Amino acid sequence: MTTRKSGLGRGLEALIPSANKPTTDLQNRQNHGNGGSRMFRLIEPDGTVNDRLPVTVDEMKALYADMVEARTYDTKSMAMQRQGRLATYAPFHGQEAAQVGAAAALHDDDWVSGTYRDAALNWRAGYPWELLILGRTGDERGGQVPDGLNVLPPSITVGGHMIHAVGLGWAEKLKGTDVVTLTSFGDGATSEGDFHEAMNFAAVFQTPTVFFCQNNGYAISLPFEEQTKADSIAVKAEGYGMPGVQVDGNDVLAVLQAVREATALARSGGGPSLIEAVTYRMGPHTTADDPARYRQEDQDNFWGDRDPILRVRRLLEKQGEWTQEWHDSLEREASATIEAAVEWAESVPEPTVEEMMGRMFETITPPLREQLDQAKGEQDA
Amino acid sequence: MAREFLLPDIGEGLTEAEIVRWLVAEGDSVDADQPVVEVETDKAVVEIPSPFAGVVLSHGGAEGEVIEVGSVLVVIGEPEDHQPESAPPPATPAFSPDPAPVPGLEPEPEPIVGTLSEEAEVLTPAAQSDAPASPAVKALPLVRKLARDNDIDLTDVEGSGPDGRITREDVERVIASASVAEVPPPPVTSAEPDDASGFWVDGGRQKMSRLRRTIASNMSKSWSEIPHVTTFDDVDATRLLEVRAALGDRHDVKIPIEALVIKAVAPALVAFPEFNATIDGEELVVHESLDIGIAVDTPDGLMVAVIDNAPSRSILELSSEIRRLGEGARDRSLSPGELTGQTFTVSNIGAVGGGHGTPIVPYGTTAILSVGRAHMKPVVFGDDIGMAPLMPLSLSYDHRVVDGAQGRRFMALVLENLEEPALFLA
Repeated sequence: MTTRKSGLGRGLEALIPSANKPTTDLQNRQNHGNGGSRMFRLIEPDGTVNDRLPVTVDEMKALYADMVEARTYDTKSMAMQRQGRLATYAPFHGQEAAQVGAAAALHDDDWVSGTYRDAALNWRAGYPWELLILGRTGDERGGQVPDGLNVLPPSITVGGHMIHAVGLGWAEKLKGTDVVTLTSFGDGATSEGDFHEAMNFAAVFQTPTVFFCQNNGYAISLPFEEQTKADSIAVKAEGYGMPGVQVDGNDVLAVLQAVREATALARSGGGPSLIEAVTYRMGPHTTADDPARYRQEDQDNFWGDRDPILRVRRLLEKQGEWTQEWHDSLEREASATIEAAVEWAESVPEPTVEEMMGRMFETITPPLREQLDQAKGEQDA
Repeated sequence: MAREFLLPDIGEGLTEAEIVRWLVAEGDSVDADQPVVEVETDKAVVEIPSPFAGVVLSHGGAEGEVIEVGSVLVVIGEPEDHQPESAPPPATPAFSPDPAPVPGLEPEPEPIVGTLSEEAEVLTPAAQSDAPASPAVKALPLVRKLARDNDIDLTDVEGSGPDGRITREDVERVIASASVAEVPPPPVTSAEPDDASGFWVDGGRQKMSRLRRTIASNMSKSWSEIPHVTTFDDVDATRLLEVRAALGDRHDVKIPIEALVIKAVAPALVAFPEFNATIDGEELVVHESLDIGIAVDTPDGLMVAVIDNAPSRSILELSSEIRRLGEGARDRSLSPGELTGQTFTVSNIGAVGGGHGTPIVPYGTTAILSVGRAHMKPVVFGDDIGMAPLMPLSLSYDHRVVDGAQGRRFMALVLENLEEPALFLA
């Protein structure tokens, strides 16, 4: 176990272990993010616990169930893309803890602004599976956020949405609410100019923004060590004058705890912060990618043993709270939920050309009108 | 009721895929989302899961066949739809005793097998048969699609629209006249057997696999550009085999002969760096690192796997690396980085009993050493004749880079090292 002092409820800095006790299991090229000694973790990969846990057993089991459901969606989406039923899909397999853990720390009215790989984050923040699937079938109506839900549609552009998140946070601050904004992005996005602008603006204006980086080791095929010369993403926070912390992104409780601390800070007027969740994208960048061309099997094996769901299972097993029957029933329920969502999404009638062109503006603009006429002409030809 | 599953665009903008392996045989049942076939696209090898549960009634193509996006990949039906395997290729879809139309089927049902094999016979790249081949043709995408779907070459169609633009009516006219005037044309080459399982059996013509095509192109390039010289020798392998056996016993592992040969060759590559070089125009690029390629015989064809900076590894490390690369090449799991970039190649033809030969120098390198199987042979020792295991060596090299005398010097050093392995332990 560990002599580490409890970091719970004591602010972000307290999450960083004061003793530089090296964690030995993230090394060499598996060690993107250079985590090791300064990484916050509550559950070790073998399921042993480092600290007092910030959740009850029932909450722990609920997080586990959420991750199972998220993975079911991910697996189903990959299959559907291969069947020609979905457009290009970006899987999040391996990143369930990062996304579910982050969303679980948010309040209902907090804003979420994520990427195309953040379906689990968006879902856990309230975005229905049905609409996520509909969007991936190519139907823009999947991106129409239900009223009252503070989740932005997934950003395809890399990095631009971080700026939106800062703007949303600034607006909430000006309105005097205690709503915070979490923006999720990848390691590659930190090389975009938008990252700099968003981080700097957020810090200068002390907006209630949580920058949540899922460092999954690869920006498409570019490995982390070629992405930045910095030791980690988290250290970049210092240059902007905000706290930064690196957490084990495959440890759902570490993520949950870190985001709780960060949102508490933002909610109380303490401004933005940066969390780097070190995780691993088990699958390809998207369905149009072949990771075997740029990474090794032993890497996948290394991270496979650090699977976020497996880790919670090991923890629950030690406490006698995990059974195969229970897990199977979760999978069955998740599968039924996802299949029902698929059925719904596939039963939605295709949009008409008028609907496709007419949704953006109250009154259709002349160039769009021209395109609409042309499209209708081709349809009728 | 039987349902067709058309090959989707599983990448972004793909036009075709090669069927690598069927994971569910015809007649076997399949669950929804269960992988049914492995295909290789320009981008990756991927498994495609079945969209429906049922029985696989027919495969849309044989392994190795390239099929286009949008053509039938597999037909899946209820168990009662299954036809006995002895049924001849039917003129009407065999998978549907049910007269109801099959969802997704084209207006004019064609025999699945016939349609696909016809496509497979066309050896030109698929893209060539498509509209972009004739940029001069003016037609809307919709009209191009209509023509494509009906196998009509737009260059043969007279356009009645402005500037000779081909309209939908123009194409429909051609379709109508074709269906009256002619029956569907027979397959282009008549000898082609429909039964794809008779791949090599009946002679015939078949598109080569991607790997085979790559090998063919590389070999042609090497053979046509590199003036080859091959020098032969036999080495007394008594000590080498003793060392190999002793190492194997000590570490309880089989030492592949390549591991020792690499160690014996390395000092020669250092002494004669032009053997570890690449010709680039008028310059010779001498490589610092000794990245040794080893030839691996796989069921699909020969592959060269590369051990980066090989001499820096111990014999045991080389052994396990050679084993790993061999297995990886055979199950096609190696990354492209592990299959390219060798600076010198060792080929153990002895593994399949080979003796001397004239190996072809891999393009981009200067030399290749082929090692045959050692046999007991009579040898002259001083004034006596004795017996020794003689191992045949064949060294091919690029005569533009290396002269004959230098080739002999290189070979002599390799021979000396192989005869007394102690020499390369230094």
